[in-house]
Amino acid sequence: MISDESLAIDTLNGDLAAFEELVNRYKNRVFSIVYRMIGQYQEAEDITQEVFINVYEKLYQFDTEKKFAPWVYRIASNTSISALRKKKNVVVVDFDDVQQVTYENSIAGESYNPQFIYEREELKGLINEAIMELPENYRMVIILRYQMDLDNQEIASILDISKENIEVRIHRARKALRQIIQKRWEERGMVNELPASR
Amino acid sequence: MNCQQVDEYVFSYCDGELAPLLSSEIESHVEKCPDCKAKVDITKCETDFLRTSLETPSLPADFTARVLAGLNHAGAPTELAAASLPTRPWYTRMPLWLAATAAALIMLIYTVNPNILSPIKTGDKPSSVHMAQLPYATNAQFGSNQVKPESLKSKENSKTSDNVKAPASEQKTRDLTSGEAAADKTEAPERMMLSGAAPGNPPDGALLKHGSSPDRDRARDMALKLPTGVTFDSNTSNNTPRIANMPASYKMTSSSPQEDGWLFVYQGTEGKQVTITLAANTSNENKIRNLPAPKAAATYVPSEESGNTPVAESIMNDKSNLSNSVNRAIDYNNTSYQLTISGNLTVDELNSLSNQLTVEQQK
Repeated sequence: MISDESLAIDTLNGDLAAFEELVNRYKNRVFSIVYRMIGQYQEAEDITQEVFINVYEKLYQFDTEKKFAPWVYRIASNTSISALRKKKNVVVVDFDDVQQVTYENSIAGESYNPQFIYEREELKGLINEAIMELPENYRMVIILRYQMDLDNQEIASILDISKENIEVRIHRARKALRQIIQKRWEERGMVNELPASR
Repeated sequence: MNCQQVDEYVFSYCDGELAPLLSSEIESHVEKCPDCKAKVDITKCETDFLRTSLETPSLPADFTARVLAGLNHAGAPTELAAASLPTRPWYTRMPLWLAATAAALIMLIYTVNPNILSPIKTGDKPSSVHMAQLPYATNAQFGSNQVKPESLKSKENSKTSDNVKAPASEQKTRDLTSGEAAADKTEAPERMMLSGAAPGNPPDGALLKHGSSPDRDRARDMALKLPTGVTFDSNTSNNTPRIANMPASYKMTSSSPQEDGWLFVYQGTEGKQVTITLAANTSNENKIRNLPAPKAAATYVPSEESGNTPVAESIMNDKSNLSNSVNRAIDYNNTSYQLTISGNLTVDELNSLSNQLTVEQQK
C-alpha cells in the first residue's frame, strides 16, 4: 500500500489520482472532526470539502519527511475553528472553575450499575449534546482523543501545543463533560443515577 | 501514590497515556483503596461509552468527486506554490510592527531636530539654527528684520565657519568682501579702485595678511579693528540704507552688506557702471580692509575733504581707460559714513553724481 506521504508527493507532481486516493482515505476522519466541531451535517460537509481544497492548495508546504495525517488533521481543526468563529456561535463557557469536582462524595465503591445500560441510547444523545456545549478547545481534544484515537503526542503536534498541556486540557475537558452530563441527566429526570453522581 | 494523585491521573490512566511507573503505582493503590477503585472503574466505563457514543454519519458517495471538481479551478499544487510566491515589493511585506517602529523613530528624530530632514539648498533661506552657526550667513540677509542681541553678535564675530559650508549665495557675498577673492572676479570689483589711502601708505602687516587669511582671522580682525562707538549692524532693518537721487539711467544690479557698510552696483547706459560703497567712516585701516585690493592700473583719487588734487586733469578725464573714484563723508542714521563712488566715469561726472546722492533708510 502506498503511504500517505508518497501519495502527497505524487500529487505534488501533478497526479490527481493520488490526491483522490488521499481524499478517500481521510474524508471520513476529517468529516468526523468537522462534524463533531460544527454539529450540523450539511455545514460540516461543506467545510470538509473546504478542508481538502485547502490541503491541495497548501500541499507544497507539507514536509514530506513528516507524517501526513497530523498535517491534515491540523488543517481540519483550523478550518473548523475558523468557521465557528465566523459564525460567532461559539458557546463560551469557562470550565476552569469546575475542576474541583471530586468523587469523594459521589462514589460509594459500587460496581457498574447494569441499569445504566438500559438508558444507554438516551445517554448517547446526551453526550453528543454535552460535547457541543464544551468550549472549542476542550471539544477538539475530546474529538481527537476519543473519536480519532490519537495519543497525547499526536494531538500536541496537531494543535501545536505541548504534550503536558494536552494532558491537562483533556483532564479538564473530561471533568467539564461529566458535569454537563450529570446536570442534563438530572434535568431529564432519569431513574438511574449516573455512577459518577453517586 | 495517594487518592488525590489517583484523581489527578485517572483519565490519563484509563486512556493508556500514563507512564508505566505511574500506572503501576495507581494499580497498587487501587488494590488497597475501594474508593479509588470505584473512580477508576467508573472512568473506564465513561471512556468506553464516550468512544462508542461518538458516531459520525457517513458522507455522501459523491463527496470525493465533488472535492476533485472543486480543484479544477485551483490549478496544480506546484502552480499554486509558484502563484503564492511573494510578488509585492519588500516594503509592503514588512511586518506591521517593524513599519510602525520605523515611523515612530523617524517622527522622534524629526521632533528633536526638524532640520535633519531638510538639508541646506542653494538659494534657500537658512534656518535660524544655521544662521546662528554662520556669522556671515546673517550678513547675507540684506534687509533682514532680524535683530540680534549684542552678546550674540560678539559671539558670532568670534565664531568660525571653517567647518560649516555656507549656501552659495552667502559664499558669494563673503567673497566680495575679500580683496583676494574680489581680484578674481570679472564683475564690478575689477573696476573698483582704492580710495582713502595713499599708494605710499600701504596697509600694515596685519591688514595685508587679511587678504589671504582664513575666515577665522578675518572675523577676529573685524572684532578687534572696529572702533568703539561704531554700531554697525547690516542686519538691522533700522540701519539698512538705500541710495537716493540716483539718475534714472542707472539701474541697481546688486546690493550687499559688507563688514562695515554696504556695496551697491549700478549699471548705466553706454556701458557705464558705478560702484557705490557706504562704509563706516572710521580709520583708513578699516577702509583699506573693506575695499578690494588696488589694481595696477587704478588711479588713486583722494577725498574731497583732504583737499589733495594730485591727479592730472588729463588723466582724470581720460575716458579711454576710466577707473576713477571719489568719496565724501555723509551722515546716515546719526553715524558718519564715507560714500565712495567708483566706476568708468570721469572724476567730474563722479563728483557730480556724488554731490547729488543722498542716503536714506530703506523702507
